[in-house]
Amino acid sequence: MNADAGPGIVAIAAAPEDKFRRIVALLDGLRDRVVAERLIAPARPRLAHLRPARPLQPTRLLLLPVEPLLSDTPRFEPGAPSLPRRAAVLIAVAAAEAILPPTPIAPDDALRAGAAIWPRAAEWVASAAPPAGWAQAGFDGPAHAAISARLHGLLTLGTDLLAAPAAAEPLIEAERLLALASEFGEQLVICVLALLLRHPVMAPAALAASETLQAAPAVLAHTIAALCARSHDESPARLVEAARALAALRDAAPSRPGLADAVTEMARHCHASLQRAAADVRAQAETARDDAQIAALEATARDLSRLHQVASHLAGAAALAEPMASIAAAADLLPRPDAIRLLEIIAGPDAALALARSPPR
Amino acid sequence: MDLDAAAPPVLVDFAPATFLQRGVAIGFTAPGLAGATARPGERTKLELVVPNQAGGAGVYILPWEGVWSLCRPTVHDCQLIARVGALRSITPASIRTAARAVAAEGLAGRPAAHAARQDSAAEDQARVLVNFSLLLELLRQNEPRDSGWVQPERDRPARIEERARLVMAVLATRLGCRQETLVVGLEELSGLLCNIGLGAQAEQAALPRLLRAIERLRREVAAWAKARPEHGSVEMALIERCAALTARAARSVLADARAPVSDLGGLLRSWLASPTSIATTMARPEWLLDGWERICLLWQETPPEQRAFAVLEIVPLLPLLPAEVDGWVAFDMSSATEMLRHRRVVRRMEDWRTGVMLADLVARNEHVKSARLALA
Repeated sequence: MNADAGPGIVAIAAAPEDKFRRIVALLDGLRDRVVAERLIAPARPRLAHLRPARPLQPTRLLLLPVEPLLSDTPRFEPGAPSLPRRAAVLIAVAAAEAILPPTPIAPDDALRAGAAIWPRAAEWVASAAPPAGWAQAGFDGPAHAAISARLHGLLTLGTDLLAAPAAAEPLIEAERLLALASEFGEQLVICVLALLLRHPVMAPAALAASETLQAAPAVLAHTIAALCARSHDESPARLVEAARALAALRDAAPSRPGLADAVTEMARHCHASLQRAAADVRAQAETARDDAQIAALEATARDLSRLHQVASHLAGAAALAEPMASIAAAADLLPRPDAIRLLEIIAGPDAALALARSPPR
Repeated sequence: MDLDAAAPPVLVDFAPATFLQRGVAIGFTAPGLAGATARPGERTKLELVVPNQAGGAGVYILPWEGVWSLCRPTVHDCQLIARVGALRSITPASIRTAARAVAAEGLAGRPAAHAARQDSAAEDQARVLVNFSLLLELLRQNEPRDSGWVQPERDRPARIEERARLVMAVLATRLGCRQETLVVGLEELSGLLCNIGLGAQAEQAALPRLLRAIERLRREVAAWAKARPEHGSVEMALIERCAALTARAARSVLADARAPVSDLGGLLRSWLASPTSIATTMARPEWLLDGWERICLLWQETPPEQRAFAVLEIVPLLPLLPAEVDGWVAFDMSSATEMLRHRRVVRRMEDWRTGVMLADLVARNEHVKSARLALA
């Protein structure tokens, strides 16, 4: 939560939905974007959940390509694939005043409108001095240089970054973008990678094998760190992707610095995810009786089976035996054929066959 | 060939002379058993023939109990292995019945269980409809056409029954058998013809529908190959050519199977005297089309962007055409036989990290078991 947010502002986040939407619309209409962004900050998690239609003010449009990287941290962390929102907004407001008309853009038009302004904004950002309020916001000169450089690169690639997931060959397009990003330095490759990894079509394992990443060990280390950092709250299906990427990196070069720790951490995340899933599967099995519920349960079980397979490759099957046994125990709650199938998905055909051949209870 | 259940499987060249030697396709769900067929063994009761899963030429021929030396079957497959192992004869019909019974237990998932029960019910209904069509045909062919004669399909059910009894009585006397024997004979013929189709609804029967699906597959593969010349043109040409030849042969054997119905009295006489030769002719379409339903469904159920992989999966599944087929049709099929014997696919991008895992393939195979051929 934003440390500067007063109690009234914090209350926005808890307001009834219609009131919340009206307040956001009001804040979106404020000319002073720095103030508006500060007031909206406590409501961001709820905004992400409700996703109300919002006009694209010039500042928001300008920051659209980097939006997923904006964080509410008060300090700039040079090694992290993120940008402090407050700093980015200060720069974007100054850039918008310098190069843009103050007219909101319809969200549908964002890509077309952005394509016209992001290259200009990128050039402006590269040569601009720190904006008004920079020091008061707690940032110094070196931070301005680093953040501006990062914004310069990301805005230069802005159109392509947003269009990449919808490309005919997204992974080839991703490789091209990573190569372009490498011309701006390793930090930008890390940021571009973080943006690309947000899209389901961008398979982490395939990206990890990209020539650009393989040629830059430091970037790879960040990739690994990013994969691990985000894995703690990932669904099993997405965690599989992260774990596969890590396994691909380990198999390609097992002695890479930091890899052993990353593997240990990822294995821990996988274990925790499987443990959490055991309770979910049990709850699902207790109520699942119709076809759709059983299909959903089996889909969950397959996700967990995939995770188990990849995690076993990372850490060995023995380490995962206990959560997998807990998940398999949920079969006891199901009608016999469904129980046999759940057991087959989770524990394999031998365990399922043993159940199939045992006398019905 | 001496087959030892515990011995490691060995690839052998495979050139079956007959469809029975080729075997009947078994819808296993384990990916390692894709394209497997069952056939009567030389030294053991049953043998399993499994295509080379690496994409090269040759097959594995195993004793029925030796399947575990090749791969780990699913629970569904284990039940199917047990049920097929207990069959007295291996035909597409007997395997189909066994496969439906196992799927109906739910071990390939609830959708596959529903599909199996629906298919059994649909086949029962088709048998009743064909039996009725035969009865109407019997009246058309054997009733005296006097001035009061009414087309049987326009008559009341009770009247049709009465007319049928009269015709049966005359026919039974002519053939020197009891009337009940004729009724049973018609029912047995209905069982043979129910998937071939008769009369106005003939094209809705299972095998004509499958034939249309094969023709559709051929058209779609050709169009797909034209649009994407970079993807394995040799493999796609093989699928297209085999589909075209099989469809052409199927049209021919379907016509041959329906032909005797034009003289139902003669057909019944032959059936009572020697049912085997008629059953053999009428079974040809399903022997010829055996294995194609899975191929068509694989293509149909694969999203367009993944069809390059479907092509590689389909090529090893293309059913071999034994030399026996040359005696069934009036044109040369040997080119397809040779192409299929020497087929080879080069697999690309095959790696567990590409995302396709064993469990995913089992789930996909279960889905195929529950899927329906789209109408052409």
